[in-house]
Parts: sequence; C-alpha cells; structure tokens
Amino acid sequence: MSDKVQAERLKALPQCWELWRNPIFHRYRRSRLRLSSLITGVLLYGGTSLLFYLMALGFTVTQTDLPFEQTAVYPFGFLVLLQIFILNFVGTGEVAAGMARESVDEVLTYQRLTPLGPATKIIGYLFGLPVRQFYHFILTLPVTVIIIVTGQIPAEIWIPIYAVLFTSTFMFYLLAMSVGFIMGKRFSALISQGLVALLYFALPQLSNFGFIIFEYFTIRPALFAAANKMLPKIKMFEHDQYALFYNWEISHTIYSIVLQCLIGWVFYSLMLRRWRLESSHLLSKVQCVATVIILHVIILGGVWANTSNGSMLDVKIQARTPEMAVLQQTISENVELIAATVLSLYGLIGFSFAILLQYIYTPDKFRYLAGLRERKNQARTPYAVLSDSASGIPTSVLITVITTVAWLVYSEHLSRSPEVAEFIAGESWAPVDYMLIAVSVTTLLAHGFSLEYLGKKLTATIACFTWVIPLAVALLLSTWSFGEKASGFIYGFSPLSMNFSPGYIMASVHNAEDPTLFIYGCKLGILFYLVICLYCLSRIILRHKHYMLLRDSV
Amino acid sequence: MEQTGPPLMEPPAISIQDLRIDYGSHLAVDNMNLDIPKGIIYGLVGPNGAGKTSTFKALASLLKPTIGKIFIDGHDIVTHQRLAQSNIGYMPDMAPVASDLKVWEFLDMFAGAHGLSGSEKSTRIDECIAMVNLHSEYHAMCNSLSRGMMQRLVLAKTMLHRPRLLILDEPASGMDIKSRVGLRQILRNLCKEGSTVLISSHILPELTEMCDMLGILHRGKLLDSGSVHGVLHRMTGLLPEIQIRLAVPPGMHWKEWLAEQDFVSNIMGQDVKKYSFHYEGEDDDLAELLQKMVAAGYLVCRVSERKRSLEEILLDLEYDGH
Repeated sequence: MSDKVQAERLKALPQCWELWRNPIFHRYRRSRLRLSSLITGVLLYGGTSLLFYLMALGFTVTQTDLPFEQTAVYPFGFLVLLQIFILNFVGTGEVAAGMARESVDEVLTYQRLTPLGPATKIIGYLFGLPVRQFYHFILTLPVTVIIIVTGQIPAEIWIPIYAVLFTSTFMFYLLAMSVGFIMGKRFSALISQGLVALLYFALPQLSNFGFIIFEYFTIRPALFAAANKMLPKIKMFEHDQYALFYNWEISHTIYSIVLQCLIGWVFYSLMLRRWRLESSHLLSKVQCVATVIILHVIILGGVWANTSNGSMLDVKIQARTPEMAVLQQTISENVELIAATVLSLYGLIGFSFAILLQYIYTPDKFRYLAGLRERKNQARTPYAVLSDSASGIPTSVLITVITTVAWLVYSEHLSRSPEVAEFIAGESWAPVDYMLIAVSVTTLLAHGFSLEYLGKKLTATIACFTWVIPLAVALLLSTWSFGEKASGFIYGFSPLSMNFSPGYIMASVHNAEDPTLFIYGCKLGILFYLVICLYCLSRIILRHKHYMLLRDSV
Repeated sequence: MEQTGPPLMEPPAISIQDLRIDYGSHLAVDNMNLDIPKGIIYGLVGPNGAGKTSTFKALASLLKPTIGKIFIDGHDIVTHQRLAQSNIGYMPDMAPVASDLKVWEFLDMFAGAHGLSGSEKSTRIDECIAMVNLHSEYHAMCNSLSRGMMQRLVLAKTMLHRPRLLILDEPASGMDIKSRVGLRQILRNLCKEGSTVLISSHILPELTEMCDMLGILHRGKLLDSGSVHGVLHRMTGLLPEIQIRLAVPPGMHWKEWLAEQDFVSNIMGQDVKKYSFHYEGEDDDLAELLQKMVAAGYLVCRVSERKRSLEEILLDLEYDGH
C-alpha cells in the first residue's frame, strides 16, 4: 500500500467527536450490551424506577388528598439518587476495573499501536467502558420524564441537577480511567471507588472550615440548591442561594460545573500524555505549575469571601449533646482557634498538592542521564527546563514560591478580617508570616531536592520516618505526664505539624515572649530541612557534573 | 557485518541508527545500527535479555529510545508516528486477546481502528480469518480459544490493515506443527507481496529455514547481521572445530605431538580413535597438518569440520552471559 493510500486512510479515521464511528466504543457496546445484559437491565433498573413511581402515585392517591404535583418531588428525588448511584458509583468502578483489565491484559498495547488519535481513544473508553451504566440510566429516564411532566417539576430544578450529574460523572470516570490506566492493577476499581468516596464524603468536610471547593466536586451543592427550591420548608436543606468566589456571587451549578471540568481536564491531560508515550510523566512541568496556580486561585476564591464576611469563623456544630453545646460555645468565644486552624489547613492543603506534584514532575536519575544523552545526540544544550528529563529543581522552586505566596496572601487577608484583627489587637503579624515562609520554603524544597537526588522510593521512605514517626512518638509521649513537654517539641519536627506553626503563633500572639517547645521544635525542623535542602542541592550539582562526563563517554 | 547488497535506491523497510535503550541503570540495547531491506524475512535471535523485545517495542514506537533514530519506510517514527504505525503490524510475545469479545468482534475493532470500513472491512476480516484458518471459530468467544488459536487470531489481527512491516515477537509459541508450517507459508506469501517481516523465535532451526537474513543480538549488541548462510558461517568460523578419526589408536605422545602443531588448540579425545580440536589455520595449513600426521604414523581415516548450529552459537552466548 502506498503512502498516499495510507494517508487517505489516516484521514478517514474517526475523530474524537465521532462517537458513532469510534471502534473502542463499539467494542464495549458489543461486549457489555449483549442480550442477557439488556434484559437484566430492563428488569432491574426499569422495574425499580417504575416501582418508585407507582409507590409514590399509590401513596398519594390512597393516603393523601394532595395532587401528585405536590408529592412528585419524592419519587423524583429517589430516582435522582438511583441515577447518581448508577452513574457515579457503579459506573466509576466499572470504568476503573475495565481500564485496569485492558492494561493488565496488555490489550492497551494494541490500542497504542493503532493510528487512532489519543483523544479518540480516550473518548472511546470514556463512553465505552460505562456503556452499560448509560443504558441503565436511560432505562430510568422514561419514568423520570413522566414524573417531571405529571409532577410539573420546573426546568430550573432538574436542568442544574442533570448538568452537574453529568459533569461529576465524567470527572469521576476520568479519575477512574486514570487510576486504572496508570496503576494497571486489578484492584484499581477499589482504589477508584475509595477515591470517589474520599471526594464525596471526606474532603467535603473541609468546607466546614471555608474550603468550599471540596464540596463542589460532588453533585451535593446543586442537589441541595434544588432541594431548597423544591422543599423550602425543610430546614435540613438550608443552603445559600449562591456560592461566593472572592466577592462574586456564582450559582452553585456554574461553580460545580467549572470546578469539575477543571479537575476533569487534569485527568484528561495526564491520560493524553500517557497515551502518547507510556513512559512520559503524568503531567508536564508547565501543566504542574498551571495546576498549582489554578488550584490556589480556586481555593483562595472560596475562603476569601467567607473570611471577609466572617462566616468561615462562625463554625456551627450540631449540639445534640451537652458536651457538643459546650464545644460550640468554646469555639464561638475563641475565634482565633478557628482562624489558626483554617490558616494551618490552607498551608497543609497547599503543601500536600505541591508534594504530590513533585512526585509527578521530578525525573529519576536515569531519565535525567538519558535526557542529557539525548540532547547531546541532537547537539542541543545539556540544560533543559521543560522536558520530562529536565531537572525538577526550577519547577520545585517555582511551585514552592507560588504555594508560599498563596499562603502568605491568605494569611494577610485573614489578618485583616474583623474578628482576627480584633483578636490581634495591634500586635505584629510579621512572626506569623516569617514562620509561614520558613516552613513552606524549607520543607517543600528539601522534599523536592531530595526527591531528585535520592529518588522516589528512598525519599518516600525517609518522609514516612521524618513526617509520621515524630507525630506518632509525640502522640505516645503526650499520654504520659513526664513526656508531655517533650511531645510538643517532637510534634514541631514533622513537616505535617510544622504547617500548623504559623497558626499556633497567631493564636498565641499575646504570649509571644514565651514561645513553647512546639515552636522550638519547628525551628529546629526548619534548620534540619534547610540543611537537607542545601546538601541535596550540592549533591545534585556534583552528580550533574559526573553525568556530563558519562554522557560524553557515549 | 555483511552489507545488504548494492546501494539502495528506495529507503529500507527499517533503518535503525545508533539505537540505545536504557531501563534505569540497565543497558538493554547498545548502539545498534541496522538496515533491513524490503520484502524479506529478517530473524532477530539472541538469548533471553539480549534486547530483542526492547528493539521490537522501539520499532513499534511503544518505547522511546534513549538515543537513536528509527525509520520505517523512510519515515521517522517520532515525527511521523501515526504514518509509521499505520505501516506496522506488531505481534507481541504472549499476545493477549480481549476475552469478552467474539473472534470477529475482536478483528472488527482493530479493523475500525486502522481506518477500514464498510465492505472493505468485512472482506479483509474474512480474508485474515481464512489465512490463519480460523473460520470455524468465527463466532466463538476469544476466551474459549486454545493458546495456539489465540496466537493465530492475533496474527490475523496483525495482518488486518495490510502492514508493510510485520514485527512478530515469538509468533509460533503455542502453535502446533501444522500451524507453524502455515505461519511460514503466510509469511512467505506476505514477503512476495512486498511486506517485510521482522521475527524473533526460540524455534531456531525453523528460523534459519524461514529467514532470508539474520541478526544475532547479545547483551544489547548486534553481534552480526546478514544473510543466514553468512551469519552462520561467520559465527562458526570464529572457532572452527576439526574432528578426525584414526584407523588405529595413537600412541601415548599423540596429544603432545598434536598440541605442538601450528594453529591447533583445545584438543579433546572423544574415544581412543576419535579426537577433535580447534583449528585457526587456512585450508592449506590443514592439508599440511594432515600430511604431517600421516608422515608421523598417525593413520587418519576420516576428517570433518563440525558446523555449529544456531542453537550452539546461542548456547555459547548464553553461557558467556551467565
């Protein structure tokens, strides 16, 4: 076959938007929607949705005098929950398991070899792997439509719900595909569902401290906003009409969709890179920096307005017991504790993301050397900044600066909030900022540089020892009376608790003359990580010189 | 290394230039340079870990080489990856199949992924199924096939888009004798139609019969490449072994006498009348040596040069490797 014929054939290949021509989609449509699956789906999901409707209708007719328009919201709610279960939970597991299976069976290797574009392949898997769940969802639609029409549920209720349901579904699917594709383990489905549970239930708890971004990963804000409109009398669904982003008011739907699309974009990008080349980093260095910037813009946007209007410091605890009521009162009387916690959590979130990204963009020594050789072979300069094999040091420095500046900006903003300003009462805020800069810069750079010098496994092992073990030891010591003071010192040594030191300094601003052992521990920790940082940097420079010799010997 | 013929007017099917592949600190392929002309079967052999699969993966653009360039039909696989991929049919070692698909569905998916559609697609699927003799399994589930059948199915999949270059990593593993003969015939026919086949196999006698050219890879280095006859001759020629049979058992000083002769080394007695030794001289020198033997009273009744097989060459390499 001539090049011309080949080129014609390449042109005729399905593009990413041509799902109906996508061979990967059709492969799953065939294997996952065989006759037995079609019949089971009708019985299971068609039957269940019909049952909801008939039960609600029967109950309304026989037990109440109300028209169905007033009770339709209940079967509609149940159906939406069923659809969330089908698409978000079952579908995510199915996508992760399917992708992992393709990866383990090495069928993905074949797919790499086909001339289909990477985007076409991703779209094929994205719609193909959960095709059975889409079918099940479609089976629930006739009854949903009947309920919406007969129950006269307004479009402003159901359109936002379904819009966010789809964006969150695709975000979770992209997450699951990434886990299955990258890890390629048979238990990827479990990991994905664990991550979904984390995104759905654990991380949204941070919204109680003003980090509302984490709540918008789920469909809940859109669902609660809709419920608020449908059932205004039920206090459980009390919810603000708008989400606050800096000083703008944005609808929950738009906010959810934008956030979920951004997260989805990150997962899509990393899969695209892996499709193009299996050995490439999950994200490029530029993408890592962009991710950090976007993340901080979004997180800051969420906490900014809530800090300005004081709602973030107004933590509400459901006082079901007298002890909880006392706790609520203590919190109300000590807003500085909440402010310190929020400031520390912000630092910890920024720290965690920066560390995670360091594992993504830092090359191992072999890749670094391979990059040097490749550049020599192409007669290019040995110094690169953006390629995967380039040193991660410039990116680590940049991400550290961004993380620190973002934390600093929030710290300054917090210091100007009325409640905190009243608590500070004219005392200097500078020690908080100094500590913040020292902790952020030394811990992040030390980790980034040691990752480059020692490699991922060794650094992760050392991090386990120097981050977690001090916390465990301090916790153990704090249970004994003689070890109580020492525990504070040891707590200060772990970067995880060091992130709490600026908040701690802020909360104890009126006792500044008497710093505690925790702060001494933090200062020693800062010194330790500074030494690690300088040591690793000097070794990296020496190693680079050695590699230049090796490179030239090829 | 043998030249592959007169200067090539058209680009070779495969051109590998300064290929180096590293896995961390392990050097898998070291400075490989190789041109494979079109329309031949080229066998790449070497012990386990020699770098065959890494080379194949790099050719199929599944693996980024540390250094080096690879051209398929004159197209750089990095800059023209899609075009190169559309010209390649790669069959990996222990090739898997999608267990939840039927045989025709499996082929249909890949035919679609290579841009075949409509009647061309169904015709091509039928042709490939016929070629590997799997008609009876057309509607069978892939997971119900035997190992050999799966290999044949993957071979059919590899040929679907009429690739100009077939890269087959151990294609015959799991196949019965009939299927192997069939495979040989299929590959021959493909070559007649202008395709090039790059193949590795552990069934070495078959490879020497099947291939037009051979390359020997050891510890990432291409030790030799050229026509099958040439490679075997050179690899054997490194240490030719002469076997002689004497009419009567020689005396006690026979071995000392023989060791004193020029070009002789490594004398081994296989029984009282049969001996072998390595000989590094030319044919004239050997004739002279035989004359001397007769003159010294050693009655030589049979002389032969033992040719080493490909297996022995590889065994030697593997032994060295360990």
